[in-house]
Amino acid sequence: MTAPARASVAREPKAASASLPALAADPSPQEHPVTHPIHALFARHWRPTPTLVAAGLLAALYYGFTGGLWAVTGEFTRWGGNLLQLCGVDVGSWAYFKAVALKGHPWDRPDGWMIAGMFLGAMTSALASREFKFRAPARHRRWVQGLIGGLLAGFGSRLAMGCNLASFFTGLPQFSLHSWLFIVGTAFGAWIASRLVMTAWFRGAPKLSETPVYVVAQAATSRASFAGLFGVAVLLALAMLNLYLGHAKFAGVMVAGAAFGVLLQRGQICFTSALRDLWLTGRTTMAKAIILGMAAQTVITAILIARGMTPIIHWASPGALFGGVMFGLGIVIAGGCETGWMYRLMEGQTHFVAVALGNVIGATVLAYGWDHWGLAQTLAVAWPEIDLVKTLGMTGALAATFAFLAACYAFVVFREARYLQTVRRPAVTPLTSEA
Amino acid sequence: MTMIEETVRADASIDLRGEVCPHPVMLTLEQLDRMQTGQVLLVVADCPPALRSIPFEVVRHGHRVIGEPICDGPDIRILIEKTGERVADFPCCCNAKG
Repeated sequence: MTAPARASVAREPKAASASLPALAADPSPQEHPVTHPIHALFARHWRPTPTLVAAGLLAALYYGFTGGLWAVTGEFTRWGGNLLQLCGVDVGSWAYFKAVALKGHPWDRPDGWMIAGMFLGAMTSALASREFKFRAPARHRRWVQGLIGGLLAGFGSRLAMGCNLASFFTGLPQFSLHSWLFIVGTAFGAWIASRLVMTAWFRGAPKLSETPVYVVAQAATSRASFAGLFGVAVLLALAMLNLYLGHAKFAGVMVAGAAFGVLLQRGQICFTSALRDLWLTGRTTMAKAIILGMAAQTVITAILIARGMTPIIHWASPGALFGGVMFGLGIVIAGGCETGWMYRLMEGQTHFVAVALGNVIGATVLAYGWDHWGLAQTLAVAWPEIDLVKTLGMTGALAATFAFLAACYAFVVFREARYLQTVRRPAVTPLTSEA
Repeated sequence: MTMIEETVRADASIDLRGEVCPHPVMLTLEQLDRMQTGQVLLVVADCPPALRSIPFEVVRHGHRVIGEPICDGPDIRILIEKTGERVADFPCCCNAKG
């Protein structure tokens, strides 16, 4: 395996003394060279397209085995309900908690174990690739941003009955029209927020030093670490415990969740960046990968539905559209979507504690407003649940879904081309593809 | 494995540790806009996506990444030579040249 050039701030020449203050010295000598295939997996990030196609196929299998979607926000809402119950609030009469089947504690529900698996998988992956580090936000306003963005995203996603998973990545392959509305709404919300986050208050001033620094290139070593085995050990222990207690389903969904967590972290899968960079810098790698991942998932899901499985359909309502706009706004302001904050938190980014908190609060507020403020009647349940397979037949549904995905892809390509017109590049610079 | 290949003089350095997306990429591009062609910028970041997004974006904007991004544990260091230029602000972006 060829070693890419590696550099570190030089100790000589002496003129380099005024470098950035807190830079670490030379890398630790204990790093292991890439020798083992498993090691190589954690030495660098995985390319987005294969990773998202794998996630799409796994999500389709997850549906095939469990009959449920790979989804997270429904469970976040139940956590909010559980917290209110702890405070002595009787939420049994709230219609939304009836709709999302609030029963027992997180450890009594498959979704709770699936999410535990996602956290463990992402943690394992971050530890194994040496990407774990406690990072506090560079400025205090990021906490406010995280909380408000998380709140908007939590509220919006539950209004639409799902986040970037159940109303987007795993919702579209179910042929539910509500996810079309949600996707369009999210792209629009991300456009508003991408202008907002570029204002002076959001940006702040970076730490800049104009003193020259001398940097040397060295041979590279692998970044993988055995620390990831800790996460694997915890995962195995919990799986064994569940099997011992007779909860084979819990163990199964937890292992699937862990696989999703590893894919998200290794691929740095980020719906927020896919939607935001479309408007900000015209970077489209992640957006294209998400579209291809949904296409792969659609094919398998279509086979499962044709063989008699029941698709999961929600109201194609203004709630799905407005929820999408709020969600798009929220994730770009927060800096991470519902799946994004999960693995970023496991990488040690404390900023995402605020996002997580905002999400649970936002989802709980929506659950309250669902019947107490009449949101359900005004924005959701009065509209039909449109199942494209029932409306257009399987062939029509497949054609419509692929046409929608193709339109999204064409739009993404258009945005990139339009952005590149604003950049003058020297002829010699090779335009490399994103590794 | 060769130990020392090249010594590079960075004219300025920017510390983006603790920043989350999109700020590492946007602040790097804005700093490059303020520099002279041929000058070198050292970027230090600790947000994992920056390892991929910063080199990709600066090359797309016509700049040159010197060597490969350097990973020192979770910290990432990237050396960039300014060679490109943004000729106009993107309609959806605010005035990036500040």
